[in-house]
Amino acid sequence: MIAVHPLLTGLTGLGISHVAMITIGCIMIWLAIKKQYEPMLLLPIGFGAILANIPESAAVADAVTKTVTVNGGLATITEQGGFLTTLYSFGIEGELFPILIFIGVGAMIDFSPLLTQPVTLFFGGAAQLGIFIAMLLALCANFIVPEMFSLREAAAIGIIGAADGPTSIYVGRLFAPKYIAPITVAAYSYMALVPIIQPPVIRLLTSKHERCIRMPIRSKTSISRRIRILFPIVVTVITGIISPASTALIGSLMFGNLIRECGVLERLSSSAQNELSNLVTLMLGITIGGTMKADTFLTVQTAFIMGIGLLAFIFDTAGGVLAAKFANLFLKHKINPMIGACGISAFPMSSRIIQRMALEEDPHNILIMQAAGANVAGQIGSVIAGAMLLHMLGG
Amino acid sequence: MENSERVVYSPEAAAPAGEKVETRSATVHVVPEKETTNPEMLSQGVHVGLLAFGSVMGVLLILYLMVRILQKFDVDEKG
Repeated sequence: MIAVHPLLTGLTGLGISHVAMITIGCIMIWLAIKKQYEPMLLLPIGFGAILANIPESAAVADAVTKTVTVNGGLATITEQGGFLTTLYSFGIEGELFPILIFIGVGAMIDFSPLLTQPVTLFFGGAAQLGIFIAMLLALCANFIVPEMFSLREAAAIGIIGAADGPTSIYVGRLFAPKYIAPITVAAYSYMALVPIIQPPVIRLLTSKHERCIRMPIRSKTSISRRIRILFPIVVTVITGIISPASTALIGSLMFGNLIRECGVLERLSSSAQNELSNLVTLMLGITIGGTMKADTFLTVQTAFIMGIGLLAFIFDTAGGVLAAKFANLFLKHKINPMIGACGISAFPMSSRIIQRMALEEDPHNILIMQAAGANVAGQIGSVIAGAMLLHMLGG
Repeated sequence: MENSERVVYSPEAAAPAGEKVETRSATVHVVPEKETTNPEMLSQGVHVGLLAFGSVMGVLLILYLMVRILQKFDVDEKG
């Protein structure tokens, strides 16, 4: 047998699957730069995928424990794993990244539109419909490929429909650690594709007359500072008591919001919105990319997860629109049903899309405040939905 | 009960000689590992899905009521 020179091990270990994954990584980088689809995440994920699929890559090497002989005695030495392995261990398995990101997201969110129109809270719930339908679709996939997904894995796949990266990671790491890469990639990719996914579904379910409905705006000044401070505390306590599994996620989101609203922590609020969010997003992206190894990513399960994830977003949109249409049966002042679609928590992209669609139908129809209200409600709804699944299936 | 077994907690062995100890017993249900068929799992999924979706809406309803209550007591700082 011919011995392979150490300098050639990378080359000899390169297979078609590695090349395919490196190509996928490059496509993600291209989408991030050229199309600007969630560039803050797709670019690090794409580069992480490249790092993970170079044969014998030191970036994703596992930690190794060796027993060696030292001065006649035995000693145990632990060799540190690659930096992506270490980041995964602390950030994803140790749940730090989703929690820290939520603190940053909380600091960025202004709940005033929601507090002005609290009825939009319900759209934040209705637009989580896709989570549960996607979960059932994942279970139905077992009829095609037997024993493909367990109930907990199906729930983790369903949570792609939360349209919320940190929640997807949080639930996925507990229920389906082996599918964490495709689940995260699907969640972030489809969030980036919200401008393409939502409009056709909305047009299909609404008439032109409904899309032209105007909604009166209440002044933002009617929301006092006291309410804005009390809101994150009340939400944390209520949801935490009802579903203790939600405490970490909703607590970090609301903590970030309290820092923003309290008015005495400007520097911390600014740090959470900028430095913290940027740093954790950077590390999260490249870490998730590092999990996209060819042998675990290029599988039939990944194809199903990507397909089901897309359907989850479609059903989310449909759920929100249909809930608004249902509410209109009883309301004197009609709601523009497009607002319901903002209940998915792809914030703030979804509300911008709805405003753009409203202006296309009626150049004087301003819905951005109501849309933003439903959009931030979706942020709360998605966390509660994830927490309920954790609670019921044992997080 | 087919899937139950009697478990006796007996701390005498660990206690020092002469010390009075209490012996307690409890009946625990031991659920055997069972293969779940696809239709059964789907049925469980429907159950969990409906319950979770209902719970989400329920929690949001409570939050809605809380916000309305907060608004009622919000008397200061209004423009």
